[in-house]
Amino acid sequence: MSHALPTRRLPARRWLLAAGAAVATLAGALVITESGAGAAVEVVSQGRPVTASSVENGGTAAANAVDGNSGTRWSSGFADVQWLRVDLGRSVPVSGFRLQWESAYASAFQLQLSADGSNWTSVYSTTTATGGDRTIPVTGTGRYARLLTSKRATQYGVSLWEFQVLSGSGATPAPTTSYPPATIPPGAVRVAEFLAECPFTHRLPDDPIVFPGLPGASHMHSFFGNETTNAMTNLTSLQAGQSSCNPSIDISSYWVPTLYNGDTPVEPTGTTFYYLGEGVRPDVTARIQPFPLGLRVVAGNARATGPGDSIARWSCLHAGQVGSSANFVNCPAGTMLESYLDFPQCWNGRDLDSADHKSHMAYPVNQDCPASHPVPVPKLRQVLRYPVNGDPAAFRLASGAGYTMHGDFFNAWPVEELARRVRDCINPIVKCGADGRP
Amino acid sequence: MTVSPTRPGPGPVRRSRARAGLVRLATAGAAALAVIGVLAFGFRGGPAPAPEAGTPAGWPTASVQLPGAGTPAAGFNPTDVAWLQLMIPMNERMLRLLDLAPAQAADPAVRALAARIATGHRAELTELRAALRRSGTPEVDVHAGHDMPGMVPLAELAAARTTRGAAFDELVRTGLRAHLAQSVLVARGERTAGAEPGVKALAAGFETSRGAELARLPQG
Repeated sequence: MSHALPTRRLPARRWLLAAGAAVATLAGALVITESGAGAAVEVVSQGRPVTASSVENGGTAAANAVDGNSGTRWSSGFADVQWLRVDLGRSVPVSGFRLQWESAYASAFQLQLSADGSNWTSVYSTTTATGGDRTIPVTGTGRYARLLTSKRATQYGVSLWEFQVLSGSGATPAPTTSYPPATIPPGAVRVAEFLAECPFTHRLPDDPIVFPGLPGASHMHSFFGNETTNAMTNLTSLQAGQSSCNPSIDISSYWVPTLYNGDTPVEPTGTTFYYLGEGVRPDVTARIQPFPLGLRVVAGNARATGPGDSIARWSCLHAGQVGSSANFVNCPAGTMLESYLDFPQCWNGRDLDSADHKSHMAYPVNQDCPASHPVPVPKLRQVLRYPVNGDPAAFRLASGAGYTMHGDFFNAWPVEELARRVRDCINPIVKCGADGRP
Repeated sequence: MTVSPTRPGPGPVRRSRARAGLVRLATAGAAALAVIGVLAFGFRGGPAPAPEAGTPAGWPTASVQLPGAGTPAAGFNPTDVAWLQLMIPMNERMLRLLDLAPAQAADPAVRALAARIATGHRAELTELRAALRRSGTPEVDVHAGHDMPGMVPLAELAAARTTRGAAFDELVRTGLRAHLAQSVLVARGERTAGAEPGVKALAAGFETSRGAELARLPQG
């Protein structure tokens, strides 16, 4: 079994794509060189409807095996017998399969084809497989293709970065790319980013993450995005709500402690929520996954007792010379007070929340997600601009001093919309706007 | 709390494949990306703050895992847990003021009031902690150091240590009014939106008893 060339080609290309950001012509030349290899064979499974016997968690969906992105994977529950089934849409002559196993591979499996999705014909069978990246020639025709595993090689389930059904003749299958280069438009800014601009909606002393079901239990919060958020909010109620965001399809909820100038609440007039791929190595960016639906994340520290306890930063819009600080800053006349806050971008792959509302998420360590929180997700950066400036002595947050700034996020993006933006903007490192397009 | 086996992420195998010749190019590219990133933010008129190095204080890292991951035990919902997690520090905070009363209060009625409520709050703390344990939630004060609505602010508590006589009596009455009113409010929330019968019964008791104490206090 060969573990050699096709696999190596892939990460090397991903590196090149990242490196080529500033060197577009070089990257372009290399793309042409590499994509010339196997035009004769067509991958007929990519993006097709897929089902599986089980998934390990919300970050390892079956669709990851046919998304053309070998930085995302399907992984099954922890049992021997598993299957992954792709609907090719029509009856297709199948010439081969390409399986890119993650380290949790199956040592015994069959590859099967079917005309109707219920009567299967095995076209390949093995009990001595050793994982890796394999292209297996077969002969057959079918509308449905299935991998059926009967023995796993590790204590975990079985996991595939990519599962490709090949059609047509030719020795070499088309190389899998972590992103099709053709969809990176000329002139695209190579920053992994899309955003939602979500104006202020309402104020309530509620917090559906920290005090779910307890109206009035919290200090005052200012809410953005979903217009329905209150203490009783859950995913279902958010999904029935409308949003202030551009794009309006983002029905997620965002909230922060209310800023007061004396006793007068001040609401931000700039309310941008960036979804970023930075903060991790480019190869980690390439395998960032969407936030799971219903994920709750908090950032910052409402309980901070000093500037050293906070990662939130205050600065001045149009007055960069003032610099940034964990506490309020004195912004010159004509400028605005602004707040930056970066959310943790590594998920434990299992929990949508935790008892302390933090443990299920972590910040990267050495530009990668730690083993305890192995799933990289977008880095949410909250940027709020408040129409106040001058002496901050009268400023306070509902939670206390400036360094108690914090942010809460309750993900209610429609799954496909968020996945598309991660796939089109974050993974390939392309700067997109609120519409999720370059 | 049971911990499921952690599934390893992609191993070093996949990361070490960049050919040596490409490393220099990749590094140059990363530097260029950083420049582009700065420029991109420049367009919006606001510089992004320099990325913070490492993990912020209090956040889990690979080697330090805070307790508290997971979901409540069967029968408990997040409202039950949130109410227990709030009432424990609320009672503790109030006790810190009430415990000063024997030495610092002037009015015998305030001393008696403080003693009665302190005794009740200590007994309730035992029940609250037992319920939190039954919910499978480790006791971590998720509000430590924070002035929640209804709590005597920490700054006021510090000032109370050096306050005596009638001024101290007024601090106790003011602190109790806010504490009891907020207790009634959140007890009503738990009674309405909670799930576990024992916790809901506890909350219903709080709502009644604290409402009665509040009614007995002279209005400020």
